[in-house]
Amino acid sequence: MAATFTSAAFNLTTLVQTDDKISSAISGHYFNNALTVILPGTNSLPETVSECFADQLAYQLHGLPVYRLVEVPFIHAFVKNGLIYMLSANTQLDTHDCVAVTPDGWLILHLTKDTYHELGLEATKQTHQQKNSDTYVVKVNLLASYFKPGKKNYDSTLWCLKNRLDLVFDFHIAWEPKDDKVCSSSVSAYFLDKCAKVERRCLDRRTQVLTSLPCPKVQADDPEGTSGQSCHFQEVFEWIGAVACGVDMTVKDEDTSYTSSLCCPEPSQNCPRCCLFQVSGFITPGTILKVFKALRQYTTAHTDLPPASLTVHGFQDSPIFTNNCPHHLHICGDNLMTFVYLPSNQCWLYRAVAS
Amino acid sequence: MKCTTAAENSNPVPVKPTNFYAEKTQSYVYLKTSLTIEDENSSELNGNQYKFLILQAMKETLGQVGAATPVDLLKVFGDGTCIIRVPSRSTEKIWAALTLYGSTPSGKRCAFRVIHASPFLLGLAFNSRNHRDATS
Repeated sequence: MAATFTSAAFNLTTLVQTDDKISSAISGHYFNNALTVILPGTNSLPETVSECFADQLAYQLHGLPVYRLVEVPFIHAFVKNGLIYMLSANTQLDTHDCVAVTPDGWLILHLTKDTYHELGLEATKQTHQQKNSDTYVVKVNLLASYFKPGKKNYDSTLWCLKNRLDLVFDFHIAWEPKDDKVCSSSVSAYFLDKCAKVERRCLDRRTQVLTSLPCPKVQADDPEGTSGQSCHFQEVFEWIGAVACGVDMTVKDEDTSYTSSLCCPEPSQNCPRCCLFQVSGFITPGTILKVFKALRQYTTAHTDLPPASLTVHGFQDSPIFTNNCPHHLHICGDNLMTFVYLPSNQCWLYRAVAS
Repeated sequence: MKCTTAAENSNPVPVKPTNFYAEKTQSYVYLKTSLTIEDENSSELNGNQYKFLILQAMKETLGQVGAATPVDLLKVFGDGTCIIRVPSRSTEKIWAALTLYGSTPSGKRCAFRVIHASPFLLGLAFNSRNHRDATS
């Protein structure tokens, strides 16, 4: 048998909705490209959910030199006093250099072999995949006590980034200040004179109403559907994907089964109306946590409906995915998290990562 | 692989189990593919025509037996792209067959291009590389 083409990690955890693991899973997933919310039984998104995006500010910086990210004013103002999310834009993980700054204060340079050897900074130990694709990861701890001007490590890092190579990138950036009195837009003001252009990155939202949608039956304590009363968790995940992509899953007759044999997993129930809300942009974990809580409130008030779900789509080209694990891209770099809200305060958490 | 652990909860009642299930392999791979045909607007193709061309491509390179691999055409978009689902163990062969297919039965030159491949259908809903999403 041929080996599988792409490598994938896929798992499901059953949790209580108020579990700390959920908030740590969300806040550990730094770079999020999009959200998909499937909400059965309603025509429109509840206002409590759409309000969550009101104070989400994200920007795109054009042509920012990387050495600007190790300068002391930047570290003091933004890395130490809040959660900073920066990811290089329009760079591809498998062929280009990628740069990210994480909220826990790491500058991560994911470099191709040529750039790495010219740059002269020390890389972390290569993983098996990084060895195969000849890439190197340089990690700089911006919050380390020894990382300050006058110390060797700081001076050589700054010199290498500034003088060796002209590393200039476009960045997605968002900042969540610790202090409520500070506006998160100050990060854009700081970079105004340091890069070519600062642009506000707006969210792209779309709401659709689906009618007569077949929904799979789900039981929290029987994810594998052994009793025959509920569907297998993998089929449920495929169903969520089909709804998100707009695939028609109505029962097939002779004519249409020629093209596709995909249909809603059994046992299922018919849902007369269902709201599909999709939003894309550069979305911070703080916003996602708010959306998760707002949806939790909504679903606990409407327990008689088929389960709602929230999916977080990570950036394919992010050099790390959850909890600073190195991310690799071979064929595809999908990293997804899906929450399915179940009755009696339970929740399924799917994690899917492919490379 | 499956392992189940009953996690201890600090609250006396209720004790909730934490179940953990992991799957190492996925049975399908989903491909987002675009088709261009010489002098023809491929966005006018319907599902049956699209599927016919995919089967032609598989027959030409893989023969009758290879073409018997179940391939599902899940959705055809207005711009000549589609989502297909193939068994993950035959993905390379089908991808190769699509790539090698050069002309339609009526003799027009054509090309399949795989834009995005993923073992998860949900992964095709958004493509962070061009900030365009699938359903647009």
